[in-house]
Amino acid sequence: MHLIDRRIGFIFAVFLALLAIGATRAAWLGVVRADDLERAAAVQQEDDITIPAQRGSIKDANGIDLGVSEPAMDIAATPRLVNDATKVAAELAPIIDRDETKILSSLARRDTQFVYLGRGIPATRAERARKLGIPGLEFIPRYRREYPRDWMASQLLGYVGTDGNGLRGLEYTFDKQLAGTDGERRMVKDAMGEPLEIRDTKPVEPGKDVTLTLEADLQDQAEEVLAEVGEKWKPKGATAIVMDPHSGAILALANWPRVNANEPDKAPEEVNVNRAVGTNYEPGSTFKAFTVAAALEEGKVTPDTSFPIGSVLMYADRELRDSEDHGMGSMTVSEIVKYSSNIGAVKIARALGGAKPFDRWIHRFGFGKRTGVDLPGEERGQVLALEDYSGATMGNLPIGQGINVTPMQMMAAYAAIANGGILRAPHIVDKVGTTPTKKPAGKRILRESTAASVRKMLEGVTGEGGTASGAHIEGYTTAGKTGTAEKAINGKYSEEFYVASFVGFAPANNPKLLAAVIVDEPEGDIYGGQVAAPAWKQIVNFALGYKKIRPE
Amino acid sequence: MVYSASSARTVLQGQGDGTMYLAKYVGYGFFGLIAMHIISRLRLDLIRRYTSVLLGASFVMLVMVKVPGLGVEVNGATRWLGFGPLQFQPSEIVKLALVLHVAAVIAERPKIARNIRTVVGPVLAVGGGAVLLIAAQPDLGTCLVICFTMAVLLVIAGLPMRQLGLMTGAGAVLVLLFAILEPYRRERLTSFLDPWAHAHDEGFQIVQGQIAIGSGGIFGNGLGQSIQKIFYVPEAHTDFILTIIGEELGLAGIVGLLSLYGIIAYAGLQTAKKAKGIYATLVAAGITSLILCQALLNVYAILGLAPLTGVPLPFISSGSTSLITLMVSMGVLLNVASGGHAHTLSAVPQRSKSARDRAAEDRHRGRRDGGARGAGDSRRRRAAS
Repeated sequence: MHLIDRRIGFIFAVFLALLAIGATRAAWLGVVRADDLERAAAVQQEDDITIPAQRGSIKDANGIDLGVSEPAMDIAATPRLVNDATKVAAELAPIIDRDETKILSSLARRDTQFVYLGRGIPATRAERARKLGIPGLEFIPRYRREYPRDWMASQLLGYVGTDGNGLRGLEYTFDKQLAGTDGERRMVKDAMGEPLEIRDTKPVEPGKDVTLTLEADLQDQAEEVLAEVGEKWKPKGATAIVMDPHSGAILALANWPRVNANEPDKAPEEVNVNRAVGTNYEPGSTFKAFTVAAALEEGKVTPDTSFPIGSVLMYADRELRDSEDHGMGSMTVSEIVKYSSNIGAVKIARALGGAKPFDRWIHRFGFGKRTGVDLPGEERGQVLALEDYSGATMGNLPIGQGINVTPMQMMAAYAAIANGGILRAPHIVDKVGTTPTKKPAGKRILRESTAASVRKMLEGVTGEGGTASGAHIEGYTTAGKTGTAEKAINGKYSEEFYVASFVGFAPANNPKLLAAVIVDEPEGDIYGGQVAAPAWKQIVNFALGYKKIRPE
Repeated sequence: MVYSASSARTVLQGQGDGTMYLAKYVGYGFFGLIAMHIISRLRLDLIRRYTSVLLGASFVMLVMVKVPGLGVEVNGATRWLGFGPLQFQPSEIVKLALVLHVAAVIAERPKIARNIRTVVGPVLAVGGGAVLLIAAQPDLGTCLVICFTMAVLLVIAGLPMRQLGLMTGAGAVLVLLFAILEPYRRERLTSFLDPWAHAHDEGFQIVQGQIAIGSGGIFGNGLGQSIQKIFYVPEAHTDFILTIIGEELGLAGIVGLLSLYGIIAYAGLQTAKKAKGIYATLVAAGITSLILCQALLNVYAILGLAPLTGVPLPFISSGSTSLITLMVSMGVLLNVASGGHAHTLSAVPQRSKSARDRAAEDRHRGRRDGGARGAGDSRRRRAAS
């Protein structure tokens, strides 16, 4: 028995030692390695789900929705889990409005656990698809951008990519404000992925609405008029802008050809460009207003200063002619503007003092740099550096050739004439959320009196005998300037391609509306007075009534 | 009594998942309590006399498991016998029968334990036969438990250490061969060495178990707060129940549980020391080692100290045959502990002997269809009484 007792003691000691080792090991796992193991637990037990924030709407000045986000779903599949791919594709395709063969080939993939069958499917359709109860499909909530007015202002509004980022236009510029902040939700789940506990770790902040100064009805009218221009003159492209010259608020901004904002990828790339800020063109005679304004401001001429005008002016190696020989022998500054005399404009620039002061005035009117309008993709134009002037340059610049500008630059510079001399960056966004945006401060570039006498002279253009007498609107005084610019193709002015434009305002002496119509490469006729001025008249006529501006 | 009180709480701890298991436990537990109670009051001689019957019956059942149609296959192993929902695991009964058998054989002629040669016949032949049958199921875990328990019994019986060492060596080689021959066991063996490298296949169970224990920290996440038990840890209510205890009650819970096993070891071996007669000593020590070996094998596997073999945690896991066998074992152990009491019963004349026989039959029947009915609850009751 003694031996047995000893052996029992020994066995007890062995058991105790083994239990102690077990306890030590448990302590190692439960204390020393606890952090690691807890992290491993979190990795497999917790899931962070992004809750998409609803993107803000883009609204016009009257609160009409131009771009809105609607609840939608991304539908994805784990191909391995989809049993009868052919049947699923056939069932799903019509409901979610996607190509059946594409769905089928997605489902046939075996190299991935996750493939999108359709993104941004409208909630109602997605719900119907969900009701099919197809195993292996996943429905991920998101928002889908819709443009209720389809074709309206597409290039201006831009669009949103499949991931919900603004890629163009206002959607791009104001992406941060529109997007809001996605929320985050932490889900503790069991091994089958069923949620056990859900809590929001980051609240969703919906995006802010962006309210524009744009007037949807005016925009509609402008686009319709441009469509008529497009049909009649078959141009490469056309732009119309309507603006309040005092505040710089853009009321309409139309581009032709139009693009369906809901299907931007169906239009060629260049058509998606917002021509109002994204194209450079030679302004031609519309530029003469600045030549005259500069000479007036510097006191080199008065509206009545007379210049001898022959039928031909030799400038360097070039023969300069007017579009038609007026045979008047001499013209006052007013008449030079009214009849758009090239020879006269060159002579006024000469009176101003030639290249150096003229170059200064080009920059003073804001050419050669961006206006600072709150739109993306703005070009800055091309202004020849003073030291690069050739002998012929001063025969070109005063009549708006040999310089590239954007439509928006022209609007800003004309606004200075219309509003009494203040150059100010145009703007299109009025409010972000409920906060009004900071409106750009202006800079005086002309005296009131100079601006007033330029306006007076421009009034003549739409008067009897002026180059745009057809632009006159019954009951109002109107003023403006036509432009018929030769396009430089490969460094040479073509006799074939022109840009016809008209920039003007009404009422002439107390302008409430400023508008420009620019038609790129019209066919049939080339003159701003014939091609652009009638369109301008239609748009402004509507706008005057729409804005309830009393006839004089 | 001490063991009874200790195991009760732990049984409750284990029951985090669903009323189905709980109800099963309560029902079987009540049954198990009665069985234990009766056995603890039987004459020890009676148990000794019926040992051979029990052993024979359990062998027959082990063979029956192999008969197609009778054996029930789960996870690639045929370990169960039964029809429909009533199943039980003969190998669990074999464990107890073998302990009683070896104790009886050695008690008859204590000298045979002093030399390996004399022990080979009665002990190793029978034990080895059982081990081979169980190994064929296959159930490596139970084999190991039996081997270890036999070894402990021989140590206590006085087998020279050197001979025991030789035997252990031979056994280890056999076990290793057994482990390497079967791919799934080989995988378990390799994954034991570095479970995190196999976290998605062979090491999955171990890794998930360790994650559960680790995320419990020192004091656990609170009763019923385990997340890992919801499908992450496979076999969370049976072999891997310790991991859930770790997650819910933390290191404190695990150490507490190990302490309880320590107390069982102490009390059981004390009982063995004080028992009257070598048979009683060996029975008490054998049953104690049976429980401890099984507990240690389970705990070590889960903590990553030993390869996975798939044995339930005594008293805690919801393996039903295991539980009821353990309850019966505890009944025997209690019988030995209150040795005098049993002997007074044995003095009763013939009439009561037949009654006792009937009681013994009941016991057998109960086991056959009941499987491992809830040993746990029965102890709780007992502790309360």
